[in-house]
Amino acid sequence: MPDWKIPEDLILDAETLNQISRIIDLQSEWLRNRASSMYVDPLMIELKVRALDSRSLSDIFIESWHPPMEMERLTPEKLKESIEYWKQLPPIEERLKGLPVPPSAELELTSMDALLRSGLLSEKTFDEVLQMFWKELKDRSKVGKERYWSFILADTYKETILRAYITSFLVSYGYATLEMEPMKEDVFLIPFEEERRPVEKKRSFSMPISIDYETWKTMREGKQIE
Amino acid sequence: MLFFKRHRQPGVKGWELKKELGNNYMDLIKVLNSQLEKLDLQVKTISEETELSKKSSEQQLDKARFIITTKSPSSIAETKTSGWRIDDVAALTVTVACIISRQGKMPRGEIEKILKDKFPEWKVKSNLDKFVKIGYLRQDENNLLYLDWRSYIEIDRERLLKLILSEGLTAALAPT
Repeated sequence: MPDWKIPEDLILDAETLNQISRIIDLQSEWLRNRASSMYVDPLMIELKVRALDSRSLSDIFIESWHPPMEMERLTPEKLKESIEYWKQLPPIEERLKGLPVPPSAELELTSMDALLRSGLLSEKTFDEVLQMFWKELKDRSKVGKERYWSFILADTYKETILRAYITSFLVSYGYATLEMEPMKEDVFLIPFEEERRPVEKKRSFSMPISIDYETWKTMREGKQIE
Repeated sequence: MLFFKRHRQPGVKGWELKKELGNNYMDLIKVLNSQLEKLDLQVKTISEETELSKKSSEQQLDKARFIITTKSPSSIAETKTSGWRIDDVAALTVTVACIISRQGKMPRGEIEKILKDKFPEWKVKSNLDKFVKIGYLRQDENNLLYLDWRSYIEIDRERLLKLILSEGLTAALAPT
């Protein structure tokens, strides 16, 4: 320690210690593997399998094989359900007739300007709005997470849509993440303390959440009861 | 529930069992296991990639897949006509054994090289693709092959290695 003159010395020593501990960790993993009953010299296995014919290899496989048990048949309940479905299904010609006429105006992508004009966004910059939402989410999720619907729910349907829209950017831009609890069929928002760069494309996924008027109304009524 | 397939995969997730049977579903699985034993069957539990240990957490169990398999391999020794060609089974055995001996991963090119010693190239490639597709193997973006859920569920890996190692010895000791 008396030899440490400048902070860089300390950093270098710490870095060296870190690398040494990593080597020891890898060596320990290697030793554990060699000591396990599954350890076999790869070359030995390669030589053995090259020497064996297909018949012997297949016999070996069968002797160590535990095939899963599966049932591939329809249940009486499923059959009953499908018969009901068939009975109630209108002929295809009728179904095609019933389809709504496509609207004459073509759908187009919205822009920031359009959102500002329609009043969905205020004059504040989008970034400011995002920061405001981020702060609100952090404040509201004291236990680490906040129920998605509680966060986006507002007094009007229009405002709820706007909050959901901004919230989607919070997640996409790495300010928060979504967590789904399949048991409760509930979605939670978890804010990050620091902005995180969006994860690699292959690891990210989309989670569509429907916010139709009926759902909003039900949620709103539920909140008022609470 | 345990017998039916979902999206081409057999078995059921822990959280689905919990939803149907309640929080003490693991106790019921234990009872079921003791009953299945009489039929030479067992419930096996795996996470997405590996077999779960007995001390797994509740969260791990919820995400795990529960599948019924045969308990002893000998009882199905005669069922050799399960739709597989003998060459395909041999290729799978070689691949699984080599991957285990290389600590769980191996470049696809090296496996192909070993298999091409006895099988035509097109057969080797189609076999490996098939093993990946049905869940015996997993391949990453660097073309490394790993064992996948089906290998962990179906194959007694330790026994497989022992049998391969002892096979040569048996042949050498056999009377001529």
